[in-house]
Amino acid sequence: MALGNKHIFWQALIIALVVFWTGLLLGTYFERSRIDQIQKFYFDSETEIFDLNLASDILGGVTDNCDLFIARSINFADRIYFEALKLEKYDDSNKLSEDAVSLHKRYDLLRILLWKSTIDNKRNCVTKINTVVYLYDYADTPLNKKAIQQTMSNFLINLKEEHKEKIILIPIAVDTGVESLDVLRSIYGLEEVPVIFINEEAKIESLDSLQSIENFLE
Amino acid sequence: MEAITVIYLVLMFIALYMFSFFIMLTIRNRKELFSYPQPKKIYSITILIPAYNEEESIEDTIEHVINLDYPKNKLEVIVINDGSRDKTKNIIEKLRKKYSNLKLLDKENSGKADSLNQGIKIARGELIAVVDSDSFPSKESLKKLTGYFDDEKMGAVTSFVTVRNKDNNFFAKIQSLEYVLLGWARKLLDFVDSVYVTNGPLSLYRKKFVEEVGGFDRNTVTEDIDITWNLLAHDYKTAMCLDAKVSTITPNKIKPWFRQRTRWGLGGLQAIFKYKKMFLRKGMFGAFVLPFVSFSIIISIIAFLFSSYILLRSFLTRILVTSYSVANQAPLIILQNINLHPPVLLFYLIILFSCSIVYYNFILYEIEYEEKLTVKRFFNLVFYIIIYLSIYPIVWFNSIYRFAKKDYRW
Repeated sequence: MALGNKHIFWQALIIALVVFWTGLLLGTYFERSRIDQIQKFYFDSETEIFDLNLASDILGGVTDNCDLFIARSINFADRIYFEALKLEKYDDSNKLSEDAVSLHKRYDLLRILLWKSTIDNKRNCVTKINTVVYLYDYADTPLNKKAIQQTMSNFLINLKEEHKEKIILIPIAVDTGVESLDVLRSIYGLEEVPVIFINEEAKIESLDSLQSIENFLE
Repeated sequence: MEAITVIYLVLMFIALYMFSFFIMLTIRNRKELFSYPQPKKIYSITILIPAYNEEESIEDTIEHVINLDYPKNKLEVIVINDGSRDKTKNIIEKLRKKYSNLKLLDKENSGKADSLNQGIKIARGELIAVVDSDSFPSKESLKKLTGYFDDEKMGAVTSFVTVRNKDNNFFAKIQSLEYVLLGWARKLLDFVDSVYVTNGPLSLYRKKFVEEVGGFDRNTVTEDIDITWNLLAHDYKTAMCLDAKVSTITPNKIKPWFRQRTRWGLGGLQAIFKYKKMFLRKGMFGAFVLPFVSFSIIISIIAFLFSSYILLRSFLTRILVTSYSVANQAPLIILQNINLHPPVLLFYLIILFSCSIVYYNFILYEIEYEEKLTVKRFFNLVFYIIIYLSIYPIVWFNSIYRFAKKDYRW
């Protein structure tokens, strides 16, 4: 064997390593830049929910502002819904960095804050608004459960399209380790997942009952 | 990082390494790819053609062999009729009247390896050429193989096999691409002393060495792989000449193709287990050939299982979602579900695929496979890479199953 050919074994290894590491570095950078993009949206949303809560506290019990609160809550819920949806898609595609998981947890916190503030506002307001909370597993789930979640999610998105101004749709992952959600789940007895929880009263835990959701809307 | 991502990255790294390895071998040895040493003497050669029920092709094969461009006084042709039940023997008898240097060894059916061993016993040549009875060596091919034997350690030299019936149908066309790419890879491995199979259609052996290592093994289903490994294990050299062409007939249909490939796989497994003690020993054979062949099988099976798992999981989820959605009047698909952000890691696959297409086209151009690049050929190449290579491990599963059952039938 020619001497030059003998060296090809390790030379090819170096080339493969260089290409591989370059790919990993570029991939990590690209994935991070995607998450950074969502992070900017997140900070805006975080500011807005604090503002919303503060305004609600200051004007607590003053029913004149209910319409405004509800309209802002719906807008906010829609906004963070689409931001989180984008994040979820990035997370599906991101394989190298784990940043999306912690950001997802933060979005879940925002949604819990929104849910809590909506519960409070609904007590003081005459205006009717429906909160549809959808609790699901974020981590890799068995196929059947994954399919059930996908079906429920599709159904709820369709429902939201049909009743745009009447529903605040709040999907929250239960397995990102958010303590406050565990408290809310135990208060309302939401052990099973996935579950659709309507107006803090009705629980839909199986696909058979999906069609009955509209009966629980006000 | 998920386990599945780690597996993917490992597979990609191995693919990158192998690709770099072959590219570097190509670049470094480009000028010598088609060259071959000129012989210092004219070797006496005995051509052995084992035949079993080959009435359709034997005449054409013998005509090709008889008309080889090689001094007739140095050439002996022995056709071994391995107990054929068709008209093979009659055809050989008829041709014997026409060609005086054609001999017939008629015997009971005992398999290809034994036929070759019996042929070697009566062969007078210094070198033994084995030609399959459905293969057709080009006029100059034999001459081009002999120069390698000036090296005293050279045990076997093999040729470049092309597909004779490539225009029969799409399946034969795909196999013709495969043969070209395999031949090319085999030549590249020659530059690192790692030609691991001397093919059945046309290979030349030094008789003395073949006898010394015990001849062709009767207990293996691929005697060509076994004899090559046996020679390598005895520190003899093997080589390949890309310019010595031989055409062969490949199966046109899936079933015979599957049977043939299962046999090849089975033979490969038999060889791996027979020579397993030489793993990482005995020069290039133990250090590279054995691990290379073994890991190629393992990696292709892992890649197959990995991609099948991903595809099957996605397919089953879709089926379940569809059935649940239909049963519960939920929308089947919504706009928000469409993910237009492909995983970054997919780029490894895209880069490897694109580079492979470019490299394979370069090979086909160098080999002069067809005059010009056509859309059809491009499509065939894409099919070969994406479909053919992806489903090929199914053959391995069958080979492994038969190997485990010790089912060594042809």
